[in-house]
Amino acid sequence: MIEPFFAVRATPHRIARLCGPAAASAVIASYDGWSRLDRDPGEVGGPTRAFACALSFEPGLRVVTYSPDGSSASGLDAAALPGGAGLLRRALTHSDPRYTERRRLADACHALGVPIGLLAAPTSPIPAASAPPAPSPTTGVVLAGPSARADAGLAGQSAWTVPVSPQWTLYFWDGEGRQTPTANAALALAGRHPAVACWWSGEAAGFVVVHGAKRIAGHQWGGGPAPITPESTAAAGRVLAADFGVPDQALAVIGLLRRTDLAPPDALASLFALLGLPGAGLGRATTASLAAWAATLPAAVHTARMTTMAAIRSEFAGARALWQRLLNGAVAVAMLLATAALTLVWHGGGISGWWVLLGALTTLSYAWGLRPRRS
Amino acid sequence: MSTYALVTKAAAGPVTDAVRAGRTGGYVVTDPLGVIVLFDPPSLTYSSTSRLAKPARALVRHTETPAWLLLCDEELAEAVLLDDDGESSLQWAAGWEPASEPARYLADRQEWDAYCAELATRYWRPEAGPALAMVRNDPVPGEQRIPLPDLLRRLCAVFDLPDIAVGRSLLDNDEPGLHDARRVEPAPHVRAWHRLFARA
Repeated sequence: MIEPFFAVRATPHRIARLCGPAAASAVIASYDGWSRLDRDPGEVGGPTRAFACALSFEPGLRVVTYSPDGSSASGLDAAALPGGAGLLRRALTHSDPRYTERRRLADACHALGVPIGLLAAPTSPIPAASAPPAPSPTTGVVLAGPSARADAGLAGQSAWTVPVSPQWTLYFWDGEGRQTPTANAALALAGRHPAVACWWSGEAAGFVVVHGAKRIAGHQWGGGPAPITPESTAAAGRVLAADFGVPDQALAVIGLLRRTDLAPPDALASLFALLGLPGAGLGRATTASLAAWAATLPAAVHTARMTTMAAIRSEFAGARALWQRLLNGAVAVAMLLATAALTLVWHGGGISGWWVLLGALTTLSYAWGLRPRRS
Repeated sequence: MSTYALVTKAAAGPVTDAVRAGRTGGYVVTDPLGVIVLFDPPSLTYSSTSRLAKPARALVRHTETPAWLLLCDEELAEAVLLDDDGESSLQWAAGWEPASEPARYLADRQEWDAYCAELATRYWRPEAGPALAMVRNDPVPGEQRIPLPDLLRRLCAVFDLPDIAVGRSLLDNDEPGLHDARRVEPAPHVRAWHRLFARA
C-alpha cells in the first residue's frame, strides 16, 4: 500500500518562518514551491496561508484539502483546480483493477494542482530559515610592478601602495568606501609588468595572474566549485614561477598548488614564501591590519578614491616630459600657421568660419600643453 | 508559469496608496513576510523589463522603500532591485555555463560577489550579501540544475520576503492565485486641460 501523501504549497523557508523550526522538520521533500510533509498539514496550511492536502488509502483513496483560510473539505467536495473536479471524481470513485493506487494518487494530485514531481525524490531543496554560517571576511591584495604607485588611482578605490621588493609593489584596499574586486584592480594596475590579485579568508585563498589586459592564470584553494584542473594548476605554476624570476621553482609551485592538506591561507602564504616574497602578511593579515601596517611605513603611499575621469587626469598630469612639451609646441606652431591659412581662405569666402574657430581652439589646446610640469 | 510580481517590506497601506496613485492597477496581497503586488500586464503583447518595471518604479518612489521585482519565464529569471538610486538587476539564464578557465571564472565570481554585496547594502541588508551571492545556478556534476523559479525563491529567503509571489503573474492569468488578494484600481487621473477648464 502506498504511504499517505501530505503536501502544502509553501517552501521549507516559509514553513520555518511562519510555523517554527519544528514544523519545518516535517518537510521530507520540496519541489517548485511545494513541500511534502511526513504528517498531516492541517496545522501548517493556515499559518502559511497556503493550500494543503492529505491523500491516503484506507483502503480507498481519501482526499482532504485545507484552504489558506483554515477551512477544510474532503472527498468529492475537496478543493480541486477549475476543471479538475472530473479527474478527482474518477480518482475517488472509478473502480478498475488496472487503475493502480499510484495512478489514482497521481490523478488526484493533478486534479488538486499538486506537482507530480513532489511524489518523486526532492530535486531542489530550498534552504530552511536557519541562516547559513557567516563567511569569514576576505582580504584581498594586488602585487604589481613599481608603476602601481602612479596608477593606483585607476583601480577606483581608497588604497595603500607599499613597495615590498625592487620588482613588486603591494596594493590593497584600506577599508574605506567601496572595494573594487581584486581581480579588477589587478587589471587596472597591470601594464608591462604583470600583476597578481590574491585573496584569502578562513575558507578559501586564491590568485589571478594578469598580463597586460588579459587574465592568464588563476587558482583557488577551497571555496566554491572553481574549474581547477591539473592542467590549469600546471599552467598557473609555470606562469607564477616565471613572473617572479624563479623558473627553477616551477615544479615546487605546481606541487604546492595541488596540495589539499594545507589550510587555504597557509597555502597562499607558503606560495609567496616559495616565490621569494615572504612577510608582508600575505595569506595571514586582515585588511585592517594591513592598513595599520602601511600607515607606519614611510615608503607607503595612500591614494584616495577617485572618479574614473579624475584618475585619468591625475595619470596624465605631472607626467609631461620635456619631449612632450616640445612636441606640443611644434604642433601648436603648425596649427597656428594652418589657422592663419584658414583665416585667409575664410576671408575670401572659400570656407565656413567654423573651420577657423576649430583651428584656433586646436592651437590653444596644444599651446596649453607647453606649460611646465606640475609639481 | 511566469512570474511578474513585486515584493516589498513596505506596509500594506502605503503600497495600496501607491498602486492607487499610479497608472497601473493590480492585486495587493498582505503576507506575514511582506507585501506582494501583481501588476496588470502592459497593453502590448511583448514587453521589456524596463516597461514591466515602470509601475514598480512609481510604487517604490511613492513608498520610499526598496523593493524587488521578480520576473521569470522558461529561459530567464530576473530580480530587479528598485530603490532611490535607480534599478539594478540580477539575472539567471536557464542554460548558463560559467567560464571554464580558472582565471576568468574566479574574476567573474569576484565581480558577482561584489555586485551582490552592493545590492544587499542598497537593500539595507549588507550582512545578506554573501548569502545573496550564493544564489547561483552553476551546473554541478551529478546534480540537476536549480530551476529558475527556485532561484527567485532563494532570493526571497535571503531577504525574508514572501516567496509565494514566485510563479504568480497576471501576464498569462487573470486570477492572482494568492489568498486574500485585493484588487486595487488606479485612481482616474484628471488631465491637465480638464483642470484648466475646471478652473475657468
